[in-house]
Formats: sequence, structure tokens, C-alpha cells
Amino acid sequence: MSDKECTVFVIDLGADMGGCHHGRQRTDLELALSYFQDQISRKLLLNRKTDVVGIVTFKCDETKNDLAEQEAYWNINVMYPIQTSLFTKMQYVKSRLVPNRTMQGDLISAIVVSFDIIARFCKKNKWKKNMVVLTGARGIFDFSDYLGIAEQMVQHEVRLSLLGIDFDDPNTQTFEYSKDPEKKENERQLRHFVDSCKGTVLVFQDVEKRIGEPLVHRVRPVSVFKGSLTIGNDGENEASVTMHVERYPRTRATKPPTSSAFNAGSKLPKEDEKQEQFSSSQEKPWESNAISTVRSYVVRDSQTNEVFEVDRKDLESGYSYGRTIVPISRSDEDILALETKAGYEVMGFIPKASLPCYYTISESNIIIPRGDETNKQRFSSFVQSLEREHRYALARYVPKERGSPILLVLMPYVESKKHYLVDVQLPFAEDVRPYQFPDLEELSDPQEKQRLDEAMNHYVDNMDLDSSECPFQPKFEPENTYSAVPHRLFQVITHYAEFPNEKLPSPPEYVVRYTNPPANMLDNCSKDLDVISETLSVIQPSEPKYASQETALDSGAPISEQEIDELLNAGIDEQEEKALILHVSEKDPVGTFTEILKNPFGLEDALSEMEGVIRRLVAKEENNLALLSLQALRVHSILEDEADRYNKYIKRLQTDVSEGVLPRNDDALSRITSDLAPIQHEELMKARPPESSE
Amino acid sequence: MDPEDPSFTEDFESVYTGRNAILFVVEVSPSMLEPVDEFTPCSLQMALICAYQLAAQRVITNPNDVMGVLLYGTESSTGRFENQQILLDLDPPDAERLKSLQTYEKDFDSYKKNFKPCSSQVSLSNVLYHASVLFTTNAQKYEKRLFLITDNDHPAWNEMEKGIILQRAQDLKDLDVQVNPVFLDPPTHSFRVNLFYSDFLYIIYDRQDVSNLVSRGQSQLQGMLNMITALQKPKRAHFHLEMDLGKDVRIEIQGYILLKRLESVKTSWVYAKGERLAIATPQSKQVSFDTKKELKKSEIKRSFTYGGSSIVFDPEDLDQIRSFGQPVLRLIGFRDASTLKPWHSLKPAVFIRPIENTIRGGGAVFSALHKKLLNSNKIGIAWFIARPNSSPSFVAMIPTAASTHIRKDFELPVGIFLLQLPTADDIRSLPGNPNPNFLPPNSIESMQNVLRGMELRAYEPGRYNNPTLQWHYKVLQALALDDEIPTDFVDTTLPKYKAIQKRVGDSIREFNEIVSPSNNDIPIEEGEEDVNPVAPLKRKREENIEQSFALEDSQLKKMHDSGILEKELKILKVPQLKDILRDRSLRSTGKKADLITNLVAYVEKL
Repeated sequence: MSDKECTVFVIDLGADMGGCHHGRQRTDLELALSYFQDQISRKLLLNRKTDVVGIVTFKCDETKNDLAEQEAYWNINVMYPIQTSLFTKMQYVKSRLVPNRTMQGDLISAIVVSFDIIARFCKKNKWKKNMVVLTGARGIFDFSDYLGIAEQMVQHEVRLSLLGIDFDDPNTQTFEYSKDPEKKENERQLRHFVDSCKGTVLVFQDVEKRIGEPLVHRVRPVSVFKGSLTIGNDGENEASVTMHVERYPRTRATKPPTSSAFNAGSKLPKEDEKQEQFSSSQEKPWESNAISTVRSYVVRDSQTNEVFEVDRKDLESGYSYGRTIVPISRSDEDILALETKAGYEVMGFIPKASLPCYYTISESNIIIPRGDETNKQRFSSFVQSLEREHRYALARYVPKERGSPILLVLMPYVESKKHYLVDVQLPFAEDVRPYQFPDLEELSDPQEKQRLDEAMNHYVDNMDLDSSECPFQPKFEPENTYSAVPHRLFQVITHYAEFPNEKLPSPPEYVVRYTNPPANMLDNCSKDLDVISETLSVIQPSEPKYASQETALDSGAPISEQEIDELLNAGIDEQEEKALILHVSEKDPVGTFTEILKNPFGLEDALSEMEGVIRRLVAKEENNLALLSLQALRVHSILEDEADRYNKYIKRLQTDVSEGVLPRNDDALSRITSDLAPIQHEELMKARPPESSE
Repeated sequence: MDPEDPSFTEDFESVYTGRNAILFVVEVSPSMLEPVDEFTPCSLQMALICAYQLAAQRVITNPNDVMGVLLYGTESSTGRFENQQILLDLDPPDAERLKSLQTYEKDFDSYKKNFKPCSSQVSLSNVLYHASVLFTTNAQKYEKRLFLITDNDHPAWNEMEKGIILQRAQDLKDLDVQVNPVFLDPPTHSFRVNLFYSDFLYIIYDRQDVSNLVSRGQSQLQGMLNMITALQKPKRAHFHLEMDLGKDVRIEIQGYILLKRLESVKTSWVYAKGERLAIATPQSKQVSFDTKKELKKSEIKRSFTYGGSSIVFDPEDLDQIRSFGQPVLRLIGFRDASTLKPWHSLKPAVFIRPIENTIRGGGAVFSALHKKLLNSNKIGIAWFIARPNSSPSFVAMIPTAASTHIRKDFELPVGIFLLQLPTADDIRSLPGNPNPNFLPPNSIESMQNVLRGMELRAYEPGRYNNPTLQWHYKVLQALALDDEIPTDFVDTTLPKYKAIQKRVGDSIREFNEIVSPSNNDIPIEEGEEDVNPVAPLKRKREENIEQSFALEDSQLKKMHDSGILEKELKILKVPQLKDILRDRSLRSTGKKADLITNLVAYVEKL
């Protein structure tokens, strides 16, 4: 929600406004209107019913105002009586905002006329009243009774701002020396007048910078909850601390302007429509383009398979419970609601450091105390104690009676020495998806890894957005960024409305300001980026085999037998190669085993897989192969210094065979118990000395 | 809201998480029916309890999952497989089935006779074959998982049977079924894995050293729920794009949604006026307001209002206007982690991980970046477009620390979270002044005692279930089965009042004594000057009214008891009534008479 706002523009249309001054290419009026246009298009974009505009021009050939009986009010024209700003009407008004022939018409009288229409529009109601005067301050002005007028302006809280073309600016020490004495005197008197109105004088150079500034729709803080924040059980004969609080939004994601469906096929051609409106200023007959959505509900009869339409009011809500759908009539839907009491209830206090900010799952809110001093004292003590203890409060929050409880974290927040609480929602168990991921990969070569780490260190440190190197103006802060899509749409809508035939401009600078890293900082770490880049390599997309075959077939080219053979064998080779490297196979245990052992990291895999293979071979009673494998395992266990492991394994194998867990085969048993028996200490000594030989 | 707006639909797009098919295969034998000890029921009941709890949990979080329970070793059979009973078909559970499972949890003894163990040898190979049939007929496209719960460490009576069992295990593996055995200790000895199962395990896990993958012992059964949750893998990433470090140095990343608000939703419309209940399918069409004629898609454009006029766009043009280029995560620079304010929050953060589809080495670079951010306590700032047409935003890149327990059964994975930063448009101005004129001495210290007494170690999302969801499904189950609405519901988010009382009751009393209205008699200086002399008067009047009602409920009650409440309330103006209602968080909408009725109803209940 925003305040109701009423703005009257008082525009100088004197003959002098048509001239270009001080070597400028644009006339004074064009300068003034550029500001006016900017202000108006903001209002047109926001389409707020409670943001009304009036336009009063002076020094014009025509006279049209309610006070025109007196000569003092001649050459003043109420061009746009106070109302919502409508685009079509504004277009018409703008076509008439051109320099007139006359120099007659008094600025102060125009202000009085404007004051009059404001007073009659706003009456005693709560409006923010603005008057914006755009003038070159030439011609003859009547300041005779300015004090009385100023008094009225102050009393009725009309905020006057006067935008003067070529006024002196004491703030920036910009003075325009070559202006004529009449203008100079007018300027002096006008400043007096504006001061007595408690208004402000704006200099065009200053205002020009503000044209095209981002349109931020300021929303008046409106509380979304009023109630209690309690520690302990409120209401029973127990000790509890209760604070009356209000909750206000702190962040809310801005939505782009809404669009509606528009029937482009309707008959009314657009041009005619505009024409008609210019002359008669009638409201657009919007129904002709409007689209409505018609909803209907159909039911299929399961027996006759007939489909028929049913009335919305005969429908009940269906809720899924597994495969079952449970219908609940509207009158019964209440039973799904929990019996809850509204308010914040503190569950406990957690260390600040234990809550990473990526746990928060909602927009944030601000809590302030309401009411009396005691309440504020309780609240302030609470906030400050949280600060001192470095803790956050975990709270349950129910927005309204019988509402759903949510989990919140309450965090102390201090701004301009004021103590607030911030609340943000935390996830329930049901809101967490406990996916598992493997550990992050790292480079295996320690040297390369160190090189990469160092490059990354430099890169991150050199790209600090808060360092003096950073050229961003203003510096990067969330407060200086703007929601890209809404602002782009605002820009484009205005553009299409005002200049339908011109080329679409690129997005506003303030939207794309931070979307690329600063070039100078990137240059500072180009070496680091090179190192990082060396780690990366583009994987050549390996075409699946069938794909090439398919293309060949598609292109109609015959495949030679040799090609087919190659294709087939390529597949086989690849498969076998893979198998050799990865696993000890039962077909060729010794060969595959020794193959894996060649891999420096293959020892553990080779041993454990070989052990498994031998067991399975014994189980299948393939004794010869089993014994050969066992021999290989034994030999390599000695060579690889894994005798203990082998001894443990062979003992278990022997037990399992003798106890009948594995098939008992006398031959196998005798071999296992004799020559493949546990490795003895002497054997180790014998096998190992010539270390280089193996 | 504007349904045509892509950013709107994006948020509500359900992310495909992969449907699971879970089959419990439980052995029934005399030993499985023996109570484990005087506190623990028999293993069969434990297994069924576990299956029920899993099903009840899944029906909330993964309603599309299918679940089944197959018992083997029973004397009676449910189908063509001898000595096997299907207790729950491999189907999405419906209320009926859940209820029947639940009865085993509550009243096992009266069903025990149904589970009479057979006297003959039961073939495990048959059971596994049956399981593979169930999976192929009911759950082809699911992520398939089988839990084999047994205390029999020697299921093969001869080599041939052993060979067949191993073949069946291989078959299941070929069907992409992940078999997870849970080995329970039989009463006489501890389960001997090597007796038979080592080869079985080798086949199903494809590796030898499986000791850490096998659950052993009865206590493991209780942990099974956690185990199952912990085995979840994301089926598909939320988005896949390149992270640009600058100067065209790019790595590939994927984004996952780890945190998402789950809400109970109405899922369909039911037509209740017919002879039987029927699902009504909603249909909508767009018609011209004038002619009521249905419109073709090409006739429909989008219009924005600009000062009351329609500015019309082609939907395709609009897509182009909204577009800020290809999806990307473009690093802009880095900042200290402390620059992130507690209120910089808009929606759940997205989790990213590296992948290497077309660029090799990205994992190592990502890992180096993660480490650096963590070590120097920095965050990345990046320009982020998740998908074509999605609204761009600035995000903070926050590394997760290694092994953060997010739930008992789940460690937060290592990676980087992207937290959307608010823009100037998203930030609302601060409301009025919260500060008191002064603070009584020791009020903060006294409150600090309360804080210390109510200390929690950390926030763990797994500790708190969503009471609304739990209640919602409890009631639905009762309604579906025509049961009575349960009364035994426990809301775990309610503070532990008794413990608070016991631990900090005295500190709270002390605090209340220090900060009490009687200590506030010091005249309060008038801070602001008022131009309008009526305003302070008026405000005072409002305060009077507010206070007289803000007083306490007891006052209202008194008025009610003396029969003047309604009369008094009628004198008040509507906004004042609304304030009174709002203060008590009561419904404050409707006509004046409604407001009074609401308030009277409230007072009557006091």
C-alpha cells in the first residue's frame, strides 16, 4: 500500500520557453518537459488509482480556470483537471504543451489556481499534496500578496517544488551570470516565496541527473501481524514473558508488472480508437478486447462412459492420501485445520554460528514492539540479550487462529541504533530432501593441486568487490541492484507507448551494471585464470558407435564387410579391455589379477576380488583354477607385503572347507592345508631381499 | 498473480525426484516370532512396524512411490507361490492398506496366527524369483529397492539351491533392483555372514568388502527408516549450466533443490451428487468477453496497462524482451561473508555441484573454489540465470562446511548454495521506532539468564515435523477409513512449557519484576512536536479506548458477566472493534454485527 498522492504540475508555456539558451540545442520548455515526461510515465506505469495528477499552464493564449472572473487569473489554463493519469488523455495534453505567443500570465496566480483545485479535490482527506512548478522565470510576476499565499500552502501541507531553468545553484556553486536583470529579480523573489512555503527550489542540472533513475515503488510499511511474542506458557499460572509485537515485511520478491490476455482478433482497429478518444476523451471500450476464462468441470460416468458437465457448487475438494482420494465437503474442511493459537512462541535459543544462512527458506520480516513503554523495554532487553549472547531464538509462529504453525528463527537486528528482530522461516523435516552426493573430486597430483589452489587463492582475493580496485559505482550492495525483469518491462512498456515506431532500446544501464565482472580486476588475475583453465579440457564428444552406423545407413552408402567387422570388433575390444582393468574375472583369475596389480592403486581391489573369486571357484568345485589362483594370491601377497592378510584369509578358507561351509573336496583340502599354507616368516625373508628384481 | 509469467511457473514447477519402488521381503520362522527380549517385540513385528512407518512417511513426502511387503516361510500362501504371503501389493499405498499395516504395529498378537511358520524348507530362490516378478509387473520404471530381512544365515540346503539363489540375485541385479539385506541375529548365535551370504553380497554389491553396507543385528532394524531416507539420490538436476569465472574459463554445474516447502494440497475435485463419487476434471477455455466465442491461441496476446491504455505484445516478443541471455552463473567477484545480512533472504537456496559432461577438470576447479571460500570466509557474488526465460538475479555463493548434520540420518552434502539476494525493489523500509526511552538496570542481564536456561545446541531440520502436514494426513486416513478423528496428536513444535518453567521460571519472574509498568512512572518526555493541536488529543482518545480494551480479557469478561458487553461494544466504531479482534488474532472481517458476535463468542469461552 502506498499513500494517496495528488500532484499538480504548473507549467510555464510563455513565448520565451520556446527559445534555446546558453548554447543548448533544446528549448527551455523541452528541458522542463523532459522532467515532466519522466514523472508522468512513472505514474502511468504504476496505474495507481490513488495517485492523481493535475496540469495547470500559465503564460498561455487561452484562459480556462474557475477563478478567471478576475483579470489576475487570465492566461492560466487548467489543462488537465486532477484525476488519475490516463495515457490517451496525456497524449492529447502533451500535444498542447507548446510555447504560446503570449508573455502574459502570472506564476503566483497559477499557483493559487492550482492550490484551489487541490483543495477542492482533496478536501479534508488524507492526501499527500504536491505542486511542481516548471518555469524559466521570465516575464512579470506579481509577488504582492505572496506571504498570505505561502501561509495557506504551509497550513494545508502542500509541498511546493520549483524547478527553475538556469537558476543559480548555491549547493554546487553554479551561477549563471549572463541572465537578464528581470529574470534575476524573479529568481530572487521566487526563492523567497518558495522558502516561505517551506518548499524546495530545484535547479535543472540537478534534476536532469534524476531523469531515467530507476523507478522503485516504495511501499508504506503495513503490519502483517499484530499479536504476542511469548517465552513460556502464557495464560496459565506460570511465569512467562509476553510482548505485544507487530510484524512487517522486510523483503518481498518484486513481481514484474502483470499482463492480461488480450483479444487481438477483435474488430476495433487501434488507430480509430485513438482518434475517437482524442476528440471525445471517452474511456476506451475495453470489453471488446477482453478475454475471460470459462471454467467447467466434467465427469465421466464409469458405467455408461458418458461425459457430462457438472456444477462447481456440487463439487467437493479431493485430497490424496496415497492412492486414496478423500473428498471433503466445504463445511467439513475445517477439521483439517489444527487447533492453534496465533502468535510467536519461543522454543529455545541456538548459537548464532550454528545456523548457516542457506537454511532460510522464505522472505524476511521485521518485528517491532507495539504499545507502551514497558512493552518496548521487554522487547529491547530481549533483542539486546540475544546480541550479547550471540544467539538466535527458535520460534514457532502461527499467523492467525487455527493457522498453520511454521518454524522461524528470530535474529537481532540493529540499524541506526534501533533494535529490531528479523524473522525468517526454517524448514521442517518434510521440507528437506536428503540427497547424497559423492565427495568433491580433487586433483590427484599434489603439485598440480597446489598450483590450482594458489591460482584460486589469488583469483578470489583479487576479485574482491569491496577492494579499492573495484570500479563499480556505486559499489555492489543488494540495495544498489534492481530486479531485472520488472525494470526491463517498465522500460519497454513506456517505450512502446510513447515511441511505438522507434527501435527497442537496450536494458537500462542500472539493471546491467553489475552483470559482468570488472575488466581491470579480471586482468589482474588473468594468470590465475590461465592456470585454472589448464586444469580444464574440453571432452571430445564420443559418438556412440551405433550413431555412425546409422548415419552410414541413412546416407545410403553401403558398408563394406571390413567396416562392419571393425565396428563389431571395436566394441568387443573395448569391452574386454574394460573388464581386464576393472575386475578379477572367474574365467582368467590369474591373468586379470596380475593385470590389476600393475595399477598402482589396484592392490586392495586385486586382493579382495581375488579372494572372492577363489571362494566362488572352490564353491563351484573348479579346483584346479582355484588352486592356481590361490598360488598367485600367495606369491603376490608375499611380494606386496600382505602376508598377514593372506594368512588370515587362508585360515578362514581352510576352516570353511573343513566345516563344510564350502564344498569339501579332499584333494583341495590337502593342497590348501599343505603347500598353500600360511606364509612363514622365513619365506618372507627369502622372497624379499632382491627388491629390484621383481 | 500472472499465470503467464514464466518466473511464476518456474517456482511452482514440481521437480521430478524419481519414483521409488520398495519391497520388503521378510522371513517368517519360529525364531522371527520370538520376542527379542522383554522390551523388544519379535523381529517380524519390528519389520512390519518399520514397513508401516516408512509407508506412512512416504505417503506424505513421496506420494507416487510404490511399496510392498512379501512374507515367506508361512504355512499359508496368498498366491501361486507356496509358503509366501503378499501382505501388501507392490502398489501406491492406499488408506486401506496403510491401515492394515498399522494394525500389525498396534495389535500384532491377534494376527500372529496368520503368520504360522511352515515346517518344511522354504526356498529363498523362489522368493527372490517372486520378487523379480513383482518388480517387472508393477514397477518397471521405478527406482527399485528390495529389503531382505532374515535371521537365517544358511538358506541354501545344497549346492544346487545355492547356485539358483545366486542366479536369482544376479537376475535382480540385472533388473536394476538394489537389494539391501538386513541380517538379524538368530536367538542362538550371531548371524554368520560367511556361511552363505558372502557370495550373495558379492553379487548384489559388485564388490567384496561389503561389511559396511550390510545391516546387522536387531538394532539395525530400528535404524532402517533412516537408512532408507539416506539412500535417496536426486534423480534429475533442477538445472544444468556453465559457471563462468571470467575470461571464458567455464566449468559445468548442476543445481539441485534440497530445501522446498512441502504443503498439503487439494489434489482433485470430487463430484458428490451422483450415485457414486466421481472425479471431476476441470477444463478451461478462453473466450472473447464480447462474443463469448472461444479464441484461438494465435488470437491471444498479452497486454499491459499504461495509464489506463492497453500496450499489447506478442507472447513471443515478450519472451525475448524478458530474456537476459543464455543460462549462466557468472561470477562477478567476492565479498566477505559478513556482508550478508540476516534478512537477505527471499526463498530457499539452490544447491550446486560440478559435473563433467563436456569439460573435464571442472570438479577439481569447483573443489578448489569451495575450499578457498570456506577457508577465507568469503562468498561469491554472481549473476544467475537458471534456465532460458527464467528471471535473472544476483546470488551469493555460500560454501557448505564439511559434515554438517542436517538431519540425524543425513549429512549436508559438500557443495555451494546459491542464495538469491534481494534488490532495491525487494527491500521494504523499516517500520517505526522500537526503542524504549530507557532501560531499567539489569533487564538485559536478567533476560540473558533466560536465554542461557533455554539453550538449544543447534537447529536441526529433522527434529521438527510439520504439525499441519502430519495432522492433515492423520485426519485424511481417519476419514478414508471412516475412523474416528484421532485425538492423540502431538505437535512437536510447541515449546516444552514444563521444562521452561522448571529451568527459567525464576529468571522470568525476576525479569518481569525488573521490567514492569510500576517502574515506569517517570514521566515520558514528549519527543515530537505536533503542529495540529487536535492530533495529540485525538491520539490520546484512541489510546484510551485501546487501553481500556487492551487492558485484559478479564475486563471484557467482567462486562460480559454484568451483561453490558454487547451494549458497550456497539458504541465502538468498526475500526476499533477490528483492532480489539486483531489484538487477539481473531477474525476481524465482516459487518459490525459479525465483529461483535466474534468478540462475544471469544469472551464467552474465557
